[in-house]
Order: sequence, then C-alpha cells, then structure tokens
Amino acid sequence: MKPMAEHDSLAIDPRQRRQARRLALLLGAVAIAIYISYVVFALHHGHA
Amino acid sequence: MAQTEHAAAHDDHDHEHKPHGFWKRWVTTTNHKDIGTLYLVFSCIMFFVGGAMAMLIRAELFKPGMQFLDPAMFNSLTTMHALVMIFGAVMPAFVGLANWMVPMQLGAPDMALPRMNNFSFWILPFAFTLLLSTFLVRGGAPAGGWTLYPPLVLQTGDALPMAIFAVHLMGASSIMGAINVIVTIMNMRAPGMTLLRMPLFVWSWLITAYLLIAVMPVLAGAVTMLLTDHFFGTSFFNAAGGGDPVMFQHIFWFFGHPEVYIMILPAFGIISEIIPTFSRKPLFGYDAMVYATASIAFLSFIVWAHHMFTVGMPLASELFFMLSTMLIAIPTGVKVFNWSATMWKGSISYEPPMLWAISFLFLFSIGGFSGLMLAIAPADFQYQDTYFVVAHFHYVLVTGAIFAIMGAVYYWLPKWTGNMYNMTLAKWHFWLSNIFVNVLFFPQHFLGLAGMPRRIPDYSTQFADWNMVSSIGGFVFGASQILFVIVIWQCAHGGVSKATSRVWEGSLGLEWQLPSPAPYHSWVEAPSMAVIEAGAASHETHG
Repeated sequence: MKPMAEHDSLAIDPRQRRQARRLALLLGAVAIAIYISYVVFALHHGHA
Repeated sequence: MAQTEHAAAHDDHDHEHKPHGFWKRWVTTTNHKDIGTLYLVFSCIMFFVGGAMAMLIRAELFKPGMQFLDPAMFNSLTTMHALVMIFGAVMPAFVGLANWMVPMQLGAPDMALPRMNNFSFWILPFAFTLLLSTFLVRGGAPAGGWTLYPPLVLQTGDALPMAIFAVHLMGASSIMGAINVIVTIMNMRAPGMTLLRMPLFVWSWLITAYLLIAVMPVLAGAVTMLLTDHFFGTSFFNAAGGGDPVMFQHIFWFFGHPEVYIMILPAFGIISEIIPTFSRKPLFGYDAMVYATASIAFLSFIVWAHHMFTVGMPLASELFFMLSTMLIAIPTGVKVFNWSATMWKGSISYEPPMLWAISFLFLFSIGGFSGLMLAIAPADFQYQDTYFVVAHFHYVLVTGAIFAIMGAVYYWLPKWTGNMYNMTLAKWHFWLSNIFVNVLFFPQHFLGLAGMPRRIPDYSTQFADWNMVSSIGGFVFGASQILFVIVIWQCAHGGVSKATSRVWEGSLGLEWQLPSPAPYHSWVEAPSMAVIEAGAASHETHG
C-alpha cells in the first residue's frame, strides 16, 4: 500500500503494523460485541 | 520566569515535508500533530458555541420572570449546551492533546493508525453540523435534557433521528480515537519505554481509552433502542408495550458515569505532568497514581445508580450504590494527596500552567466534596434535580476538566508553536476566569439547597439575588475566555520570544527533549535509552 506521505508512520515495520492492526480489530470487535449484547439484553428484559 | 536561560537553537522545520495547500495539510492529513491541532481548534469553536448557549441561559435567568426565551427554547439550550460541551468541547480537547502528546511522550513517530485518526476527527464536524442544525427543524432542537430520558425525549419533533444519528457519529469517532490511543501505546512505545516509565498523561489516557471502548457502545445501544421505539414500534422503554422506562436510565448511566471519568482522568494526567515541572520535584508516588487511576476507572462501572436514587430501588441497592460511590473518594484522595506531596518543599514557581493546576486542586476538590454529599442517598432525595447538582457537576467539569485543558494548553503551547506567549495576558485570563467561575457556580449551591429546580426558565423571587450574582459571574467568565484566544493567536503568530527546547526549567519528559516547535515528524528514529531515562526522571522514584 502506498503511504500517504513520505514520512508517514504507515511505513513502520510490517510486523509491528500487523500487530497494531490485529489489536485494533480486536478492540473494534469488542466495541461491537458490547453494543449488540446491550440490545440483546434489553430485548430479553424490555419485552421489545 | 522559569524559562530556561540557555539559548537553545530555534529550529525551523518547514523543510520537513509539511504538505502544502489547505486540502493536503488539513483535510487528508495523517500527521498526529496536525490532527491534534484540528481537534483542539474544533474543541475551541465548540467551547464558544456551547458557551454562547450558556450566556443565553444565564441571561434568561438573570431575573425572575420570562425575559426573551420561550420555555421550549430554554430547554433546547440546556440540552444542547450539555451535548456540545461534553461531546464537542471537552472530549475532543482531550483527544487533541492525546494526538499531540502521546506519540511525542512515548518516543513514537506518529499514532499507530494515522488514516483512522484522520477519519475519527473528520466525522466530528459532520456530527455537530447535524446536531446543531436541529435548531432549524420542525419541533426545534432536543429539549429533554442531555440524558435523553424516554418518554420525554420521544416527544422531540423532527430533531430526534438527527440527534440520535449525531450521537452515533460521535460515539464512532470516540471509539476509533480510543482504539488508536490503545494501539499506539501498546505497539509504538520506543524500546526501553516500559509501561511504568510512561508519563502519567499517557497512563491516564490508556485507562480512559479502555473506558471509552467499554461504554460508548452502551450509549449507542441505548439511543438505537430509542430510535426503534419511536419509529419501528418496539417497546424497549415503553411501559404500555411491556417495556421499562427505568431500564433506559440504568443503561444510560452505565455509560454516563464512566463518561464523567472519561472527562476527568486525562485531566488528572495533565495535572500530574504540570505539578512536578513547576515544583521542580519528581511526582510523589508515581505507581500509586497509576493504581489510583485504574481503581477510579474500575469503580466508575459500579456506581451508576447514584444518578437515579429517586426512581425507587430496593434499600440494599441504594446502600450498595451509596457506599461504592463513596469508595471513589479513596483513590481520588490518594491523587490529591500525591499532588500536594509533590509540591511539599518543592521550589515552586507560578507560571500560568501551574496556576491552573493549583486552582484545579482546590476547585475540583470542592466538586468532589459536593459529590460525596450527593452520594448520600437520603440527602440526595433533597438535592435531586436542584441547582446543587448543577453546581456540583460544573465544579467537576469546568474547574476540573476545562481548567486542566487550559493548563495543558499553556503548558505545551510553546512546544507546539516554538514561541512563548504573553505571560501577563495569560495571568489576566487565569485570574478573571478563576474569580468569576466561582461567582458563577458557587451561589448555585445555595440556590440548590434552597430548593431551586434545574432546567427551569423562570423561578420564585426568593432565588433572584443569587441568580443575578451567578449570571454576572457567567458573563465575565465567558468574556474572559476571549483573552485565551488572543493569547493563543499571538503565540501562534510569533509570540513574545522564541521558546527553548525545554521551555520550563523543571520540564523533563521526552517531549521536552525535542526542539521547539516540535518537528513535523518527531522521533523518526527512536530516542536512546539515555534520553528515555532522562525523560522518566520527572516521575521515576522507584528502583
């Protein structure tokens, strides 16, 4: 992938970049899971 | 003046591949400093938009009787003032500070996910344009309070879906910002920058970011359910359909209380940076500060129902939420003690950042103490929905969060711009703000204890005197913020002198090892162990 600027930190070490993306995806998945679990909880509790 | 005397080279870093042109420099930027600046400018604009609403509210309340706002508009203004200040001013200001400082303090070249960083910011102007444009639609802006309680909020006109979508956008922006902060801290620290060497500002942001990821989806869930109740016939919160309106309050405050800590933990981090610098001593009890911050974050998840004692809940629940709330005073007390102990026998000087930090200590503690009063369930039945609550949370959020932000800007502005600002003007800004914020909010304690309800545009004549005093305080406090903009503007356009790299005599963190202004791309090569150890000396008292 072409970096957006010459000194862009996207040019960091590929292994580090993979780790960063994995952690970001994991945290994003946690956020989405919390969102869904609250709606499901309310569905059970709130007789929607 | 504690500015270092030695003449450090003032580097001009324009040659360092700054993109030219507005579009490339600001719209498509992936540079953490530029994005930090965007966040801070946006926050400042929102501070004045929310502030203008506060001026209108105080003008209406200047004397009893209806002056020039109709009640619906008054309610819209209180609601929108809160939403704008919380999500538009305070939170983006802290994200802006994190963008600027976290990579520089960790020895990292940038945030870990620079494109997502850009996206996180640029969502916000759209979210707030959408939110503010609700003033123009049929039925007016949301007027049910920032807590959006159903069934009241479901009476909102065309603004409801707009406000809910805006809240979703703000939440998405916050979650992405939080992910970026966590990934940067976990993955981008320079070799040798161990977790317990990180500056307290970074620690407080790491903990805040986890809070954000845990609770912003809860708010999103709550407002999605409001949306489906209103438009798709569900009955999550509709008692007539078998739903439970009190459940909304539980879900909202499960988000809402940690949200309060999202707005105050980074402030704690800032104060922990400023006090050692101007006391010329390492921070007292660094490890204890980290554990206290984590404890406050944990406790913030188990106290939410103290916001809703009066809905009626079992006595055991009231006792649990009352006592768990009071527990928060312990780690908070640890922090206040450690800040005081840092100053103890220090060689203190009173530059503007330190003035704001000391003011924070006193005034935030007032907000903390009134919080303890509100935590007492039987007493809360009296205080609930009165101006005492308004006074409490403004002491926490204005003299707490916003004073810390002011202190942070005065602390790091020379590092950002390469120029020193006008100290006299900055001190005028501090003293006017500090005096009149108390004229504004302290009388609200008296009004609340005397029984004046909040969110009411008219009031009994017995409350007239203190309301007039409070309004006068508000007008002067609001006007004095113009000085803040003047100081920043002058500093960004040359200031009174060039800043040295360390700027302040007692500053030791990694960011002060860089030239002023900080190069457009800092720490392209990781700092050496010697530099990291020198930076950590500001707080490293353990072996």
